[in-house]
Amino acid sequence: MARPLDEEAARAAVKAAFGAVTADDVRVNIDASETGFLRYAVNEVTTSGQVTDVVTAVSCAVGNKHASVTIHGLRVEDVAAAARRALEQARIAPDDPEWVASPGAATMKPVTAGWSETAVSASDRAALVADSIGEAKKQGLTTYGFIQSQRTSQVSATRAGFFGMHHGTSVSLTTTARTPDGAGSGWASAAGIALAELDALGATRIACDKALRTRGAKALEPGVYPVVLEPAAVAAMLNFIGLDMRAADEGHSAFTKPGGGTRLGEKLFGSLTLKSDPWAPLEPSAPFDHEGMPRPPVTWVENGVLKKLRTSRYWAKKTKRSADARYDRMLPTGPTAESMESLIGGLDRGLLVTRLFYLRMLEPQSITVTGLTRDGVFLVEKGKIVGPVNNFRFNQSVLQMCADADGYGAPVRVSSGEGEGGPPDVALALRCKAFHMASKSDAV
Amino acid sequence: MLTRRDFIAGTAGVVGAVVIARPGWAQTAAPPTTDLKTLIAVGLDAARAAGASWADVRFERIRQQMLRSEDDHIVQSGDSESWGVGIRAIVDGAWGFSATWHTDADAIAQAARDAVAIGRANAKIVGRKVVLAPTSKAIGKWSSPFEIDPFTVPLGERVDALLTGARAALAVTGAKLKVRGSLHFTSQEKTIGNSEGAYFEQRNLRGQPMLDISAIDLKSGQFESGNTDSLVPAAQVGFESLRGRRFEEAGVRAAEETIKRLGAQPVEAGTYDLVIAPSNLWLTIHESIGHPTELDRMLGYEANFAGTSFAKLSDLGKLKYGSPLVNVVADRTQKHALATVGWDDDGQPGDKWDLIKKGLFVGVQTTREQASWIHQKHGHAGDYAESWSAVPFQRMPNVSLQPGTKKLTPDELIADTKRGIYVEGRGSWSIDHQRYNFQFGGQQFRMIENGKLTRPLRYVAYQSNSVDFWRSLDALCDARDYFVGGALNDGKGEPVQSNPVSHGCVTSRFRGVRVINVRA
Repeated sequence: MARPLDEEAARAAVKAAFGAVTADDVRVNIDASETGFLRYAVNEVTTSGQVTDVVTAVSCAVGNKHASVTIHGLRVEDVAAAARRALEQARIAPDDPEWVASPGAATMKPVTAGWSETAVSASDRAALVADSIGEAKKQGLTTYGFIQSQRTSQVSATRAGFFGMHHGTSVSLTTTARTPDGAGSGWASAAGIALAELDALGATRIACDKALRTRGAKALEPGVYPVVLEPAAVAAMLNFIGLDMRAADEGHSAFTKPGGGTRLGEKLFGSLTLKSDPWAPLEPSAPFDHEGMPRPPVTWVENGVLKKLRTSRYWAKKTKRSADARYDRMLPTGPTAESMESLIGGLDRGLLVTRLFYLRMLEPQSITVTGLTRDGVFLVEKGKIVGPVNNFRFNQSVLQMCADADGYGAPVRVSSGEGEGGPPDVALALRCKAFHMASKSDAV
Repeated sequence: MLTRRDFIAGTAGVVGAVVIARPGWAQTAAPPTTDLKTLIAVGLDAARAAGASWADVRFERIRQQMLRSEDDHIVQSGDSESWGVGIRAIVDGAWGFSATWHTDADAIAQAARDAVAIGRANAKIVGRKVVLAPTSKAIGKWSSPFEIDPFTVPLGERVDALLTGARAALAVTGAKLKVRGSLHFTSQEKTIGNSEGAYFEQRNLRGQPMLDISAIDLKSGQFESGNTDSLVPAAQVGFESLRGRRFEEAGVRAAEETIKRLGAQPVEAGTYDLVIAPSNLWLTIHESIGHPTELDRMLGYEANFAGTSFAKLSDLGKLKYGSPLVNVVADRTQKHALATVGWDDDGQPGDKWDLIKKGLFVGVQTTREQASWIHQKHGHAGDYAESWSAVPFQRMPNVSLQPGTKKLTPDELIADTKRGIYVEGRGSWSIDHQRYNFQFGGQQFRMIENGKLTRPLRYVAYQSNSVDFWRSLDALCDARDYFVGGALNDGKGEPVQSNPVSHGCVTSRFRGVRVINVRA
């Protein structure tokens, strides 16, 4: 299947930009995408469409003055014009003491695991949704959801000699099922690289099962509970971790040590390990960032110990450290990979949480986050699910959640459920000894 | 809306209904070489020929300017321009949509045929067929009000405007400060024609300067964060909004307040009377009245993502949403407010109507399509797409609490309060997916004791249920105190889209609200 952008066209655009200007430093970024989506609600299709886009950004620098210009398109004359305009802007831009020249040539092993040759058509999406709606109707439920398929090509190129190109495909579905009386609600997601990996019907059945099982939720008082968080809930919490060396050095990060310095080397994350690896089969991604920095595999947190904070090129130069690429994926793993049954079986009395909603930073010092549970909270007693309970608002430190973890699932792909579609996240289920449910929510 | 894909880069954690603008690349593109009227006709003809019973062709030119500063210097600058076209078609009662950055006639005709093909695929599984309520034929031009077009202002002047504010904040003493700034303007120009004969052009120019400030005590490892968001709110304005000393003064005030909070006493959790300044209350209105009164949420259409509503259609005219002092209007005509339009994307003229009258729930937000869902003859101007590549759908108008009719100033209201907390500025905010349980923070909190403002407080958030909260309102300041806050990026829909929206209000008092200490 054709890529959204072939290398010949990409190199022609890059050449046009480089040839149009005499700037000290020129960088070209191209993001081409073909996106198809279908949204449904109340067992009906609501919005559906396709978008073809290519975004070409040209950045020029003269000394330490710089500017960037982007066009939607790839015609060489437009790219050249964008480069000339970027140069004009750069010449009148103020000095930026943080400017660092672009990286040069680098050798990277390509990442091929993120591409599927199978196209996904509007009819494919409609057929999957028809199945999903049919399943919900069969069970007397109403369903709501979103399916999106995407093909992307990314290019980073610098006049200093870097050229990287990466292609990826993704397909994802999130679905909610609700009982007609509004007393029950369930949610599930499915995500993959290829259409064949997307078990839309399986996700729908999980959502339907949860909708039926959440009816008649018992009132439970807020308090501190042991919990098992499903992977989507864990993914939402881990979003709040910002592993930035500069913020830690400057004193406005959870990873700043009182009195100065950073908390590198401290065991802050329980037994969790956090890595980024573009070649990881679960979440393949571009092996370079938009600045032209290669992305080697990196371990940020190992068995709970903070091993590394990401250092930008400017901060590396200022503090005489080595610079890191900007990574856009993270792979969390635990020391074990228990099944959900095993994780639940380890709860004497606690809660099973499906997913979380409307999370906001409450207090960045401790990475304390507020939010709500949604689409399935179940009371567990002596390792068995007893039944559904009401939703809660929680106020919980993400670091404390990690420190309190005593059970870990296997990493799996999850769709964020936050409306963006696109490549799946990877997360794992966690069992935590203490999770702070601050108040009841009447929402179902 | 940030996802974990941003997480290694730095701080993350903005998920949900109001999302914060991310700095973007500057954009530019060549405009179409054929006049838009001709290209729109090409698209409409192609859609009709392919079998559409209704179609529209929407050209958008979106220009953006972004400056970003780090402490006292600029680290990003750029102007932007993007052209593209989005085409909708109704086929056998189902919607289809296609969008492309190609703006030549052949590409537009193909996009129209693609939209029809997608509509046809959907028609096989569509339930309720699309019916658009009638409206007057939209013909004409409209622009949001501004005096100075920021896209004509030299870069040096824009840099000075941002750095003057940032440097004023940095000059405040009392703690180590980290100041990150941004100055952003968007010009969204839509030219829309539809198969009913509508043809209209409109320009929405909006922007905001912003400083995010951290006050740092390296010795203790403590820091507090603040911003100027509610001191210089986003609005439909031009560069004239940067003239004068308002932004500079806002930077100083935000820095001083953030430093003050660093040394403030933690709040003791409990029940308090709250006097809430409009700089905080606007966002509470957004979440607890704006979103629950959207018809699509009420009927479940956002159940998979942004959530639904506790409010039901059967509650109209019956539900006591607030105390009798609570009057709330939806308004697409309010000058300088972010959601004001000449017409929505369906060609429905901007309008104004009641949502809550004397505390009673009386109105909902609709579009032309949604009118038929509730057997109304006409919809409101609610259909909006964030860009050419997005599908229009129901988005929030400006939703505002009306001032009190009795003379009352904030000072008088505080003097009338025995024990409470005075809350100012936008902080953390969160609400459940049916808009019952919410929790809001703020920028500045001060204790009210025997009618006087006393000590500053830290780690404050108030938590309530939407209806309980609005029923507890017992005093409103008058129109002299009216303030309009706004969000440039209210997130909803899948794929998620941003909607600019404003909310006006006055200082108000709420009795017996639960307050928590977020660190306890």
